[in-house]
Amino acid sequence: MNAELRELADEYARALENYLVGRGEAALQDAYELGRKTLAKGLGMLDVATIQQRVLLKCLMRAPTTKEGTRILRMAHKLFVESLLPFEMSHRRVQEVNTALRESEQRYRNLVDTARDVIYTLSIDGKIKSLNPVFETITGWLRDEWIGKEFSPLVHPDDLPRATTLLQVVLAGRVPPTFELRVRSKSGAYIPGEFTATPQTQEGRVVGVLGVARDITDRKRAEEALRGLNEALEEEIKRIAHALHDEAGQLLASVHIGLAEVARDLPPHTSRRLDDVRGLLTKIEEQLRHLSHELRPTILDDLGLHPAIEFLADGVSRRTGLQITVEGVPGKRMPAPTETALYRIVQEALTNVTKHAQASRVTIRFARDGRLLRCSIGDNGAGFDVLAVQARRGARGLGLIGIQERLNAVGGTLNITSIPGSGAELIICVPVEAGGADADSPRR
Amino acid sequence: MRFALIADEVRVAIDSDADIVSARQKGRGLASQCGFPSTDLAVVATAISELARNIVRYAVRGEVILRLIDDNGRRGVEVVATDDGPGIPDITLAMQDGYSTSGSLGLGLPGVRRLMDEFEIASDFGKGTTVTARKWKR
Ligand SMILES: Nc1ncnc2c1ncn2[C@@H]1O[C@H](COP(=O)(O)OP(=O)(O)OP(=O)(O)O)[C@@H](O)[C@H]1O
Ligand SMILES: Nc1ncnc2c1ncn2[C@@H]1O[C@H](COP(=O)(O)OP(=O)(O)OP(=O)(O)O)[C@@H](O)[C@H]1O
Ligand SMILES: [Mg+2]
Ligand SMILES: [Mg+2]
Repeated sequence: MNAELRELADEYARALENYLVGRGEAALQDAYELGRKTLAKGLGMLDVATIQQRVLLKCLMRAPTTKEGTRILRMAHKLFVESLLPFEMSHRRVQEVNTALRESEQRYRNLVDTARDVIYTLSIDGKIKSLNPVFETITGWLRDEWIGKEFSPLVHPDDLPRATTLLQVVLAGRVPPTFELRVRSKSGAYIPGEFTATPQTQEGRVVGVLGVARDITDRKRAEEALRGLNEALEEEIKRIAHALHDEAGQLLASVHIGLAEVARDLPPHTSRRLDDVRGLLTKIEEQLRHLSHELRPTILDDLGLHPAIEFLADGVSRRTGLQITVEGVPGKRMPAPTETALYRIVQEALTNVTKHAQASRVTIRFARDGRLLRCSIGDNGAGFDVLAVQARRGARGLGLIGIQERLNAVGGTLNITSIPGSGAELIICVPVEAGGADADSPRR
Repeated sequence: MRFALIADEVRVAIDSDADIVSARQKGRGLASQCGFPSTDLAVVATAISELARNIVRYAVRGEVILRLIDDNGRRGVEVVATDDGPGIPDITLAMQDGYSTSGSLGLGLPGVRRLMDEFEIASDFGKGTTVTARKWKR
């Protein structure tokens, strides 16, 4: 027995003596305080038991009669209970914490078991530690077929290098942004999944990966459908543009020739009045040609976004009197869907300015920042309450929605800022390949 | 009062450590009158100890009221510890394990809540504290 315990034992012995000579409650209180002190010192219940055993033995050996011995035993028991009560309090705390823990574990389990997204954990060597039941519903595999195995055969071979890199990122303690991987189902078909992955840590060390994977088949389908729809729309526009340009253009040209013939047969003063009509006709022809080019500018395919936008701006400016400036350049050529999307967006933005803004000036600005192309269209018109317009349900215009959907399809974002009374600005960002600001050129 | 009183209540003024002992003694006496097993007597004494020592430490003086109560034939002991001391600014915090403003164990209040069957605490910051705890006979 060490010095600390011996000191406590002496105190305990004094309390027992006091109790035996009839000091009653005061002695019991002393025993209780002693238990508290033992607890505070970080000692345990077994230490109290040892102390009690020691003190009691000594005391009993001095007992003159069996009767006295029995009395000592009975009273010592009461004292012992007092000295244990502080431990009982702390024991009940542990019980309560354990119950709470079990309940929270149960709640967590229910959540995991009924989740509609796959919840997975990996060990640091890339083996699957756990999967929730929905994994079976989505992939057709049994969980037992994969738990304890490497995750890699589940991932599309083309996606595997990325998956491996991401695993390293997470194991280094970082949280990557959500990512997409194709997962091989039991039938052999690949399921597009959107993943999160976070490090699981224990005492500051990464011991695994915890993540959620969502089946995004439906979203992918919808995006695909939208892309198809946009492409069909472009085709249709092309057809109309050609009809306008070729057929209506041809007809107008014939009218010109016809008029010229008529003019020849008329007296000079009458034929001068016809000249005015022919002037108007030329203007119509011009506008028709311009409109048909704007509808589906071959410039966009042949020369690129910047000339196409300048051509568009020029046409709108002439028709409406708006003063439109194009600043900056979009840089290197982008994939056709991105260029078309940007062209259509600027087109709708300019239409909106003409229809709603009562503006006198518009600035279209391009800026390239690494892998992002920023395009803003700002006017100096009336502006509008952006939140109110976006919250509008039912009957609302399709322009801004169309802009948003086109951007979704190419992974871009839209921000609108407007101060009522001093104009509106659309800010569009689309991801592009990194690279310099090459001059616009025909698409290879 | 929610419960029928079986006998006269006992009031013990709390002013010093010696008063803690006499409150314990009275409480133990009442509880044994109603036939509590001996370990539960110790539980009641513990609750009184903890509440009374809080009074001595944080409110300087106060009172412990002890009652034998009856709830449709079920008998029990009610311990009320009340004082006009500084009160507790944040009861939720004070009820947390290990929370102590005096560098002590922070064992008292949560311990009493767990040992007893019922526990209520009311405190007006600046106006004092009243803790009520009950133990029913098993
Ligand atoms: N540049 C702008 N200046 C002022 N208000 C604008 C501007 N752009 C959009 N708005 C406001 O936002 C609303 C929504 O625009 P959106 O393009 O979605 O629909 P629309 O132009 O009304 O109809 P649609 O484009 O389908 O022909 C407009 O009705 C208008 O109130
Ligand atoms: N009667 C009271 N008046 C004012 N404050 C009180 C009173 N009783 C408790 N408190 C406050 O509540 C806190 C928690 O009380 P509790 O009895 O749980 O722990 P403690 O007294 O600090 O430590 P221990 O009881 O382990 O010695 C106290 O630190 C004190 O700030
Ligand atoms: Mg519009
Ligand atoms: Mg206390």
